[in-house]
Amino acid sequence: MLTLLVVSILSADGPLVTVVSDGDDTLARRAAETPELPVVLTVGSLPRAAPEALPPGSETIGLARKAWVSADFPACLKLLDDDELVKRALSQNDRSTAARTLAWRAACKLGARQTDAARRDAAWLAALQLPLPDDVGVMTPEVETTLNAVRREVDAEPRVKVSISSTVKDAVVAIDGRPATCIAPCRMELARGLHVVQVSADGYTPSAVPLTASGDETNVTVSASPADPSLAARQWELRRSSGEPFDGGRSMQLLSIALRSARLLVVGPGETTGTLRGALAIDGVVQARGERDDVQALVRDLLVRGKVFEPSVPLWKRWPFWVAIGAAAVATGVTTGVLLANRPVVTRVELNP
Amino acid sequence: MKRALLSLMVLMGACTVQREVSLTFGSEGEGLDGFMCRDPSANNQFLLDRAKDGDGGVKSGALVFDFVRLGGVPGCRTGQLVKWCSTHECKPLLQTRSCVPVTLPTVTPMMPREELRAAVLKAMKQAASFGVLNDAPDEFVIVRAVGTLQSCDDLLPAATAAELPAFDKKLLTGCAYSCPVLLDRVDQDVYLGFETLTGLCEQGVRTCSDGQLQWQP
Repeated sequence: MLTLLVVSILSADGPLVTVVSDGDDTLARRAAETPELPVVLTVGSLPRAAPEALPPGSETIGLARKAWVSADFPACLKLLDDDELVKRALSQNDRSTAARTLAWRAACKLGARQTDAARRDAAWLAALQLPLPDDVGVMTPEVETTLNAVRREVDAEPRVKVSISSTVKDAVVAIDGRPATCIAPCRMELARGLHVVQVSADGYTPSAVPLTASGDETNVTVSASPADPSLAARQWELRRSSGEPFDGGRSMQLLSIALRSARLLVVGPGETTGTLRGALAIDGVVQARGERDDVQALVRDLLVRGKVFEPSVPLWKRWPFWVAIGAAAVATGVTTGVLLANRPVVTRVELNP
Repeated sequence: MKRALLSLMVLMGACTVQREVSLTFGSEGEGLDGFMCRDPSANNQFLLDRAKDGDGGVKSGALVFDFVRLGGVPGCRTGQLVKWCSTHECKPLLQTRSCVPVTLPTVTPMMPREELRAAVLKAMKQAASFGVLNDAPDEFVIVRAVGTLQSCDDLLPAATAAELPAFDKKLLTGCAYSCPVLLDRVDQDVYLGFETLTGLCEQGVRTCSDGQLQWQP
């Protein structure tokens, strides 16, 4: 038992903690050099977010417009007939592209004498409450008339009650490309027809699903998968650029994912001159915050309060020590007892008649 | 390492228990009946008469002590011991024999028994405080005291001897023995005695002094 105690005390290494400084790498390096800690401190670099993919350009719409002008309506429809173009634009909150796609599709269908199909596109445009694009000005009056007439019909119809929930807590819900419509779970009324519901939350990949509003009431639950480090880095940059403190809860959570760090310690300048502020997050959840004059004292304080390691306890205050002492005492007692019980006896015999 | 061993030996030495046990024939010599036996084959003379020399003097004799291993713990009575030793090996331990010269008293044929007992006891006291053995065996033994006219030199074994020298039965003058006893544990003096109902007990002395405590006809 004594051996186990000694081995456990002398065992090297410990949990890995990533140290990040808000803008000052020297500070992070000094923090990582904090001596006599039973943890391994490594300096991490603030993530650089990969550039966000650009939304699909208006090149396709331009080609469709050219085909419409040339009265090549089949070519126009071939370019725009895929509903995914609209859904993708809505999931990227690009309502303008969605509106232009649907308006030109209706125009091409009217040109091709597909009146009913054109009205369906006009109805979808109205159900999505997309504004008529400026492109309508270059279309025939028939197109504008149809779009407006159908919009009036859609507006006159009763709305459908829609309940939206998500597997992600406090997810932000965007409907048909309108950002931050509500926080899940929430209810709203939508026009009948096809809609796009998107949920997003820090630390998760935004997820969009189609929703067909029909009948009196419709329910939808949207799930989302955890964000990859690149997305988390982008989300973290957004938070930071919006003014959130570097040691804020959401910021620490995103930074933990972006750096793939189970234990993240951030340090930076404090509120007052000469002080340093820091926080420790474990598995993305802030466990301790502190403010000190010295960065190494701050690191030690955060690691202890975050229970990454116990403060050094004198040997005599540890229970294994007393167990070992007790065991040694018992062993000594037993050995002494055995020795005394089995003491050799020398008996001298003499004559005493 | 050597220092540790030395310390251990010192410790063990300090832990050794030193004891002393006395052998006695009783305060009035009640255990000396074996030294007052007569020999029916020699006109009922006392065995002590064997010590007389031709000119009225007395030959010097010896008192020999043996510690007899029994291989068990039989009863104390003579019959029990003889019976036990007929089926077990009862043998004096080679390195435990000791011997002390003793001159036994002269006796007269009609000497009263109590007077003779006192005289023998007085003679035995010549050997008072004789160190019979420095370290008693760590097992049950009987302690035997044999009186003989042989010398101690004749009866003590040589350093290389494998057997103890046997007693000359014609030179025996008496015998006494104890009950089976573990001397390391006994808390009283050890009493040496001799069981007989008659003074004609020369045969008992021969049995008592036998090398294997076998019955002697």
